[in-house]
Amino acid sequence: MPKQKKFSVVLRSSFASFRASRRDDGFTLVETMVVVTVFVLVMSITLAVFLANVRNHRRALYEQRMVNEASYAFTKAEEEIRTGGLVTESYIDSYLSSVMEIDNFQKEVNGIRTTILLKIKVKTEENRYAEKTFQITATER
Amino acid sequence: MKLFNHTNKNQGQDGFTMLELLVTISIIVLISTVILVLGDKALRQTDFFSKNTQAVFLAKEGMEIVTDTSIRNIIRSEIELDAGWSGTGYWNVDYKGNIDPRTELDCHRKLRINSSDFYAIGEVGDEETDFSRCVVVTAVDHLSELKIKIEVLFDSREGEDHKVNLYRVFYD
Repeated sequence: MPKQKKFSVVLRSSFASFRASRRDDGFTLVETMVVVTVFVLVMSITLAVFLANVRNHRRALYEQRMVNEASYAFTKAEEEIRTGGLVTESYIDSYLSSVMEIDNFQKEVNGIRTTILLKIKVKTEENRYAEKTFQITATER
Repeated sequence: MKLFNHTNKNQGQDGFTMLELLVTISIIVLISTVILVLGDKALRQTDFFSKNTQAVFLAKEGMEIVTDTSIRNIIRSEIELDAGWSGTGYWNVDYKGNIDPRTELDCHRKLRINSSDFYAIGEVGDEETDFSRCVVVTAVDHLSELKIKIEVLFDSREGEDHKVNLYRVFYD
């Protein structure tokens, strides 16, 4: 009478052989396609968001630089107005670095108050423009 | 004839299981997400500081406008009319010397870009800016002392309101 194998032994050996054969077989076409599709999809989204973030970050840095330069130019302009001096577009421009372009310069005098509106822009590395508008008012003493 | 019989067994390579690949992808996604979130946070902060600087400019401008004695006199007389010798009033002012009395609740109206491109009280139809400016004037001691607070509000990218305050006391 043939020896009857225990069910657990049979199950273990068949599972082991299944695992071995699965390992040797590699992936099915469907598995590969699913994995590649998921990977490509995830990487595309990640890359797109990452690049947009980098672009925005670079623009923000340019804007920050514009703020710094405009602050300095305006401090000088305020001093000039308070002492009765004349502030022109070229006066402001002389305190800005060469990469900054003045896009709009407006000056309005209301009695003893002089208000200056300045819109400056700078070309970023992606050949786009970052721009910022500032306004100050100074009173002649 | 089996040309490619040796492929797997001879090289002794089992390859990856689906589970291993999914774990790897999950880790990549997790790391990418962390990097993106940190980058986005840095961007928001830069945007906040940039707007905050503009708000400081507008607050300084507001204070400069009320430095004008004639404008302060108008404010003083309106407080006297409304609240007697002491009291608090709210105003919108702009570079042209326009003074618009407001209440505490409706003082923070967005500044607009007027036809000359300036930030001003403006008119309906003019483009709104991200900033609102309220001048809060408190008269004390029989109007001889005016405490002035300029509040400039702006929205950040998170949709939160941020405020820049500037204070000054005028003794007349």
